[in-house]
Amino acid sequence: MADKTAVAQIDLTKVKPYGDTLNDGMTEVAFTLPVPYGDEASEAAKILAKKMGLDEPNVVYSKAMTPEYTFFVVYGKCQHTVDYTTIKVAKVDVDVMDRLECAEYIKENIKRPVVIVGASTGTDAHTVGIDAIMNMKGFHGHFGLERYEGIEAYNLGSQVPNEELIAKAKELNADAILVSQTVTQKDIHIDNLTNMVELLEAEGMRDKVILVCGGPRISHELAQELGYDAGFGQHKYAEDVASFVLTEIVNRNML
Amino acid sequence: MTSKLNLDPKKVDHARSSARKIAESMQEFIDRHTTVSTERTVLRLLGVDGVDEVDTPLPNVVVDQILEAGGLPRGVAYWMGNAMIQTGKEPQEIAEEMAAGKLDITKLPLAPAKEAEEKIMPKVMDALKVIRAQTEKRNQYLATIGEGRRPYLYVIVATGNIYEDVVQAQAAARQGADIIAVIRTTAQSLLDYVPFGPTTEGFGGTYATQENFRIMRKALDEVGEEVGRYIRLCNYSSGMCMPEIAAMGAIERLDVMLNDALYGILFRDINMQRTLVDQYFSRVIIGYCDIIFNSGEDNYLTTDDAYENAHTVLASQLINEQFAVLANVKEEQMGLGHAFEMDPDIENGFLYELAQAIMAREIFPNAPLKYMPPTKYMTGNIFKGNVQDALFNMIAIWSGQSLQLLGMLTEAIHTPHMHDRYLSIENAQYIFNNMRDIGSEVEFKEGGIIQTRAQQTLEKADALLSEIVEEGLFSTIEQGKFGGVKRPRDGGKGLNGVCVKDDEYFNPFIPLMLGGAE
Amino acid sequence: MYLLEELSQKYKRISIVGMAKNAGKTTALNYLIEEAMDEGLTLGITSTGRDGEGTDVVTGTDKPRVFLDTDTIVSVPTQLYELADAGLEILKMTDYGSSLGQIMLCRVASSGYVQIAGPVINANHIELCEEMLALGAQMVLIDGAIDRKSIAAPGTSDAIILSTGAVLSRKMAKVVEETAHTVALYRLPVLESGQDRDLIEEHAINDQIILIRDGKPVLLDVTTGLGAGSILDSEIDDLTTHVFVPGAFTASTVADINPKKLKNVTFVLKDPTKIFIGATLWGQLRKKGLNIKVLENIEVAAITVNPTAPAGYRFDHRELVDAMQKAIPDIPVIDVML
Repeated sequence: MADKTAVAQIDLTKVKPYGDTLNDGMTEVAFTLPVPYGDEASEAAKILAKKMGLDEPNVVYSKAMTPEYTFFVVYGKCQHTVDYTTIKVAKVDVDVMDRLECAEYIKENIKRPVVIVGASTGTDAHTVGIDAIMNMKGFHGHFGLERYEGIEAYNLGSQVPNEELIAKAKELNADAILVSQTVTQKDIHIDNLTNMVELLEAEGMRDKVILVCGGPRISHELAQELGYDAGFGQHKYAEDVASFVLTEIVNRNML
Repeated sequence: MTSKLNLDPKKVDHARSSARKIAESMQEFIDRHTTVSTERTVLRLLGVDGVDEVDTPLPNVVVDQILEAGGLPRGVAYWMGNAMIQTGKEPQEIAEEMAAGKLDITKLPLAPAKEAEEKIMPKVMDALKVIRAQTEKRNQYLATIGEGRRPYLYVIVATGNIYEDVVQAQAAARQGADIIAVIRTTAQSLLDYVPFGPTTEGFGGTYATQENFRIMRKALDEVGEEVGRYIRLCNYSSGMCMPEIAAMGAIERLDVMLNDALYGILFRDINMQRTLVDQYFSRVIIGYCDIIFNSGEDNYLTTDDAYENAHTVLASQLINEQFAVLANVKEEQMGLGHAFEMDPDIENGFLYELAQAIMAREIFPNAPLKYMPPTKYMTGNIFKGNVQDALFNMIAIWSGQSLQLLGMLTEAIHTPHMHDRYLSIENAQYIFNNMRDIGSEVEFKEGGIIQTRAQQTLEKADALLSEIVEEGLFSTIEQGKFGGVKRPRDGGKGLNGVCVKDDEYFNPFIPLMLGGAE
Repeated sequence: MYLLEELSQKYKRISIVGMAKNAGKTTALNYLIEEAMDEGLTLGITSTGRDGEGTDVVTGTDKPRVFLDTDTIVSVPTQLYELADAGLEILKMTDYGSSLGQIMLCRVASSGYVQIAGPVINANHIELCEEMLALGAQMVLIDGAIDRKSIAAPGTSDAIILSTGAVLSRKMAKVVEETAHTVALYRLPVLESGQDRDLIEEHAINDQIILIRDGKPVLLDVTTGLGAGSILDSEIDDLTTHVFVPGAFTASTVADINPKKLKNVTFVLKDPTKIFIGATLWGQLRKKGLNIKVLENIEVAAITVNPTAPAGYRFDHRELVDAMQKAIPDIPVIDVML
């Protein structure tokens, strides 16, 4: 066939960034170098971009921040590829049930109300995360735990000290504790999250509750490192958390 | 000035007089009490500084001993004056001996009140002289090298290491910043003491210590002279040590201090009685030395919905204003706070934000309003973040804000990198220059969205304030009407540091500072 | 020095506890593993977090991998099994779940690198150690995660190795001070046997707070000291001599107790891991007369130091070891990087 055109196929074993043509590798990066503004600075940025794996680096903007520092915006073609087909991400391994299925599951398997307390802890003033999971209204059309039949949800709000959250969980005899961390600086969320686990261990409660953390910088893998039963990152909703907690109650025989 | 928003001046007056009543009713409570931090402040002003061998600051050592002996109702100024008479030593030496366990200040023979007061007065006057000199130095700088144009560009540094902060702060000043705030390390507000010395290790911020204040002041004076603009320094007179840090700020010439009558109660769970007593002395100091205070109403909108609860911001601003009036703070020092925190998905959200910002300006015409950037709805999408910050800057220039805390496109990701700060300054400078006079050019449609929004917010704030007059401020907070946060009257931290004054209570600084002593 | 030889004669289970993340726990673990290989000692290895992965999930920095000799018994979750470069024989699927899958007990059939993870709950580690010993391990090493110190609890292991290093502070004095503080806590005096101890042990069944007032036990209707400072403050009277707090003992609890009362009683805790008070405040409270005893303290078998911090600064190897040894003279201090 004379008019046959070659069409690039997406090869998932060799994925690279997409600008406007498949496999063009187009990538933009911005950074500051501790060198004075000038031709040498731009050259340094270019060389660095090459070392980052960007072919044909193009310094599209540079500006002196102060006499000793220069800011750059650089475009280049990424030479590296990723084999998408072999990627494995640790994820909460549970069949997700919707709100009504959760209610049904509680009725059939747990046969008593499930108590869940949650808070955004430490100095974090952001309630977005915990509200999205717990409040009636939920988030993006996913209702929160307060609306789940069979679940008694207590949202303690933001800036709750770990000690207060634990005391409340003890008072309510909670099945699960949800800890939300939204904004963090210099990994302070790590300290705060481990302090929570350590306090629970000290209180002799760790094996009696399901401990879950969540937030944009939380992964399930991190949860293991920190001593949590599960970690939920972005794009997780009340049903994900509820399904995990309910299944775990049954698995751990906390009936 | 005619109101562009068609606000009813009678309603404004009514709301303000309600706030006045609320503040005055609290003032009766405040006047009857003192706190450990208030008394430590007196000691700091008298020159007591340093720490003992286990790092307890000497002001704490002295106050704790007096408290334990039941002597606090009289005020430390008496005890110190008496000890000076009995031992012939200076306050600092007396404190050192107490820390070493060599002296019990409450077991000395007691001189009559009048003699102790006379003994201490020269020390008091020395302290006021130091503070006056710093105020004069600021005025001198403003008269010679001048300052940036309003809205002042206000940025933060938060490395945790004061020496690293200096590098960042000087860079920011060279990039155009007018105010540098050194963010405090996480949870310093809950420490019932002020740490000592230069510090290099903090989480998400740097310890507020007198030495750190001194280091940063010197750095900003240097860079200010270099760029030909006075660079203001900001820190926090908040938490458990509100008045102590205000005193340190006065001595080290800070220019702006975060200081809110209610913030500690609502957002740090500090006991309300403690906070109200503490805020009074802190504001007396702030008022005396021309520091601009920043109140923290913006925080209500990070915990509560910015559309639904905008009126709580106005109500709190009015209360903060009236507390400040009672502490003799000038209008020109009242950096009342508000924020751009509406959900970006709200249709016409910009118009509502604009209405509220102009309303704040009209109701507090002489106050250096502090406007806080979007944080709650910043997502990590830095490109959209820069647009959100641009809308925020447009409203600021349009409504004539005074202290513009610049939004960072990387908000919600990390504390600002050097180029984040540059991009935010560039964003603000572009918009402020390009839209400089839009505020005086544009008027609003009568009965339109903007006017209606402002009027409704004022109406609701007025109603809330009337309700608080009826119920009292303590019980309003107990019910969670500010920021959606409920706090019990006897709950929270620091209540055991509050005590009722006795008839002979003596704090020489409050009357002198209120009177504007030379 | 042959550390392990000495340790194996005294202890069956040793936890490696970090003063901070990147204090060199895994390096210390590798050091012991190497010694075990030299001596032909069969180890059981488990971790409260995760070990042996190339990159750290928290900091993204490089982490040492873990090479295990043949016959070592190791806990591996299902999702990490395939990632092992060693040959692993699955001995048993345990009941413990983890975020990386069910935990399995394996025997190293052919030596190589292994990624290790164990249960996240300490109580499960106790059972797991027993199983490892039963399966033929002569000694079990439990590697801690981050700066989680609760695995130091006497019930979990017979002794601990405390890993510390430059990561704690840019000031060497501070590194030493913080470490010495932790060691001092772990070696707090044990409540001597006698009437008071008997009373506490007899009534401590329901995890209630117990006061000994005038020689008699008073059980409070409070099961946690958290947030109970003001209750304690009102309950402690002139006749109270001891206060037993079953769970965590924190700075905020102490803050609500009148300093005068604090001075006149002895607080009794189960073990030192219940204390959540930083070094500075601890010193201040001791000066004010705070007195704490424990029912059981913690055996610190050795201290390992890592003079390099991931932030790029480092101390002189010898200086750090010497300073540490001077502050803590009777526990061996080992530089694991040498």
